Amino acid sequence: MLTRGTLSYLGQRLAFLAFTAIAVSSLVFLGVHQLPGNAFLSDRRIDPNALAALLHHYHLDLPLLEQYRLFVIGILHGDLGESLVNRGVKITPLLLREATVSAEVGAAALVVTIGLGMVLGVVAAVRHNTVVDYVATTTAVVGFSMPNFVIASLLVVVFAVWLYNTTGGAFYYELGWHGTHGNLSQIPVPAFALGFPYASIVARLTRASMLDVIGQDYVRTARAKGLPERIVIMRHALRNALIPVVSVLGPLVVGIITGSVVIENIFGIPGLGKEFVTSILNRDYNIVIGVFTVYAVLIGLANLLVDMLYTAIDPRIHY
Amino acid sequence: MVVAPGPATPDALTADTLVFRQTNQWADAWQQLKRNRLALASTVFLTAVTLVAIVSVFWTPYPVYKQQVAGTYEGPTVSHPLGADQAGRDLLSRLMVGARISLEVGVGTQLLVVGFGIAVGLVAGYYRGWLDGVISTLINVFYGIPDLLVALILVLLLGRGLDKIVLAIAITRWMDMARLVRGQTLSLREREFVLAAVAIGTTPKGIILRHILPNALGPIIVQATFGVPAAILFEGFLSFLGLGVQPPTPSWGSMAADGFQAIRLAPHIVMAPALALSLTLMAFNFLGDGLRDALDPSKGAEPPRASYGRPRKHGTKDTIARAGLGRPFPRLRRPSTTSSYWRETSHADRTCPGDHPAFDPGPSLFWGAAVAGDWRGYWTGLAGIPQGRFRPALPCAIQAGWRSCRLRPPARPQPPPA
Repeated sequence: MLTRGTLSYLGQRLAFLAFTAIAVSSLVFLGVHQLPGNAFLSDRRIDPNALAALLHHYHLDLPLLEQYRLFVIGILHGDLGESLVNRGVKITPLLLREATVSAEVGAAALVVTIGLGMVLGVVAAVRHNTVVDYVATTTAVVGFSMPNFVIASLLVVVFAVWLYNTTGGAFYYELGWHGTHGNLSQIPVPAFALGFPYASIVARLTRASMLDVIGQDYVRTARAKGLPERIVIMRHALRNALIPVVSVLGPLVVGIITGSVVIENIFGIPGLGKEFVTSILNRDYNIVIGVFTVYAVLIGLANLLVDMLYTAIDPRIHY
Repeated sequence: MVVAPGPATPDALTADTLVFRQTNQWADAWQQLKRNRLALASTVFLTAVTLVAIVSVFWTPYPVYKQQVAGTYEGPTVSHPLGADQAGRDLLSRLMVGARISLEVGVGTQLLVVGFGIAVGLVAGYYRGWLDGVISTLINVFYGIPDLLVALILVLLLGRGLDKIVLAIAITRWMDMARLVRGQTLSLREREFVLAAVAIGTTPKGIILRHILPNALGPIIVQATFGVPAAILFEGFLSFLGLGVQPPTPSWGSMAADGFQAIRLAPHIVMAPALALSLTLMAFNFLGDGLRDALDPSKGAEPPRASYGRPRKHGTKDTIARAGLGRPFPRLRRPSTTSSYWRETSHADRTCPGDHPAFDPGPSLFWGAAVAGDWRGYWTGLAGIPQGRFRPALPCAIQAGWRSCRLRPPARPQPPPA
């Protein structure tokens, strides 16, 4: 369905995305340069000549506007500069590597969110006002009220501590991350902690819109035709109930990105979120700016993807 | 209209006596809120938390900041009901102060957000034009950036005091309120009473303050109630990352972060603040749900419908089993509201297997449930569903579940006698 209209819409959105990325990183660049202190402050005395050389190396001795010019040129070339703390480490490849790690966990969390949320919501709507419904609704409210670091702590207590103690260390969840791409067994627990709060939002929304759709005339017509209940629910009701759910996917992706900052720190996953907090604590401001830029691009892409998904789900919408 | 029993003289029937019994929006809302047990329980819980927070200003069981090297990582004991943390400080005392910090952050943020959001929203919605364009664009821009990350940067920029954190959270979370007030104002300003006010020459200021704002207050209160837990959660995030309230001050988030370091050795240190935080957030969310059902009837509550979900067969094992789960005693309290929808079809129009004596379970196995109250109502209440709206006062509905009730088919025309 890639018509010319869609393509030009896509082009506009991508141009806007690039503009947003540069705007966000410029704001952060200017903000960060107002921050007190820098990465070179330390308890030990530092040779003034060495300090001057360092400042020169990072262009920190230039006037702010000149620094900003160099920064924008760098971004346009895909170069986010060099880490202030770990000298010689280029930020762009570093962040790209960490983004793949975050993406693995985030994608798994998205699967948890949408899968669990939709199953809970559909089941609650189909069995409206039965025990199943109450259990699903209560689960959703509880999940919505628990911060993800609380869920993470509970999961760690159960899967890492309690399981270790009861099985005598034979079987347990190991915190951390093996190798570059991790171990498949290390993904589900953080993904659940990251996705569950948002799953409850999806569940509430799915339940409400399913209840709305199930009462519609075309669902009655489908039943009157003698279609199996499974087909009625999955094909006639769910597909239409999905439209409002898709509309929260954008904020959802933003939420998962935000949540990953906390979750990656708890579970020791070397992703973007962990890098973000570490660099803030180390005052490695170049990385802070870089992470922000990557996040702005990711969020923009996610929103674009969601808008494109609309047309796939609802053929009445086109651009 | 109920007229208050007043003095029998006819001239006592003035406007005053009529107003005395007249119900207003807030009294209605309060009646409705009282019926929602979950919201009521949440109110009680939150009052208790507030009291604890106030008490913690004057008194805590143990000093909050003093370290006790002998008692580090101590589990729950009689003298320390929640145990002690990694520096031997009493967890209960720190939890009490943490409640104060959380409430201060939550309420303080919402005060800022409500003030700013109302001002911006009213101006944008009432005057429209280019100002509205600017404000709406600003709102959309703020929605596009990840709030937690911006708050982190703001905390770095502003400093780490409690007031700075409140400000940082308010800056990243004012959009919901502004958008809500703007929308409300846009719809209210087209209403007849505003036209009437304009016609009698009320100034724009008077219209905004006397006519539009009071009518938008219900949704604003609901939104603010949902905003408080969001702000508390936010502070929890910041503190958990070590970027919130400065370390010796106990905040629930930073206490959880401290406890997380020792999660293998002493899981109670992380569990205590985590549970306190979760329960408080849950209470605020339940209260917000209840307030929304009471104050903002356009949202949340679902319209009553003749049948819900999958059609069930009558008289199956399912129905009979649920007939046994019903309430063994008749309901003592009259169900409170019956909306016009239910009044249209009377009990006699309905047929239901639960009404048949064969389905009467007699004294059931569920005496315990009878003592505890209405089972099904209990679960509905837990799920946050307001009572009385979905459960019409039909005996068969109470006995066998509402779904088993169907409209009685109209009487067939009898064949004429031969």
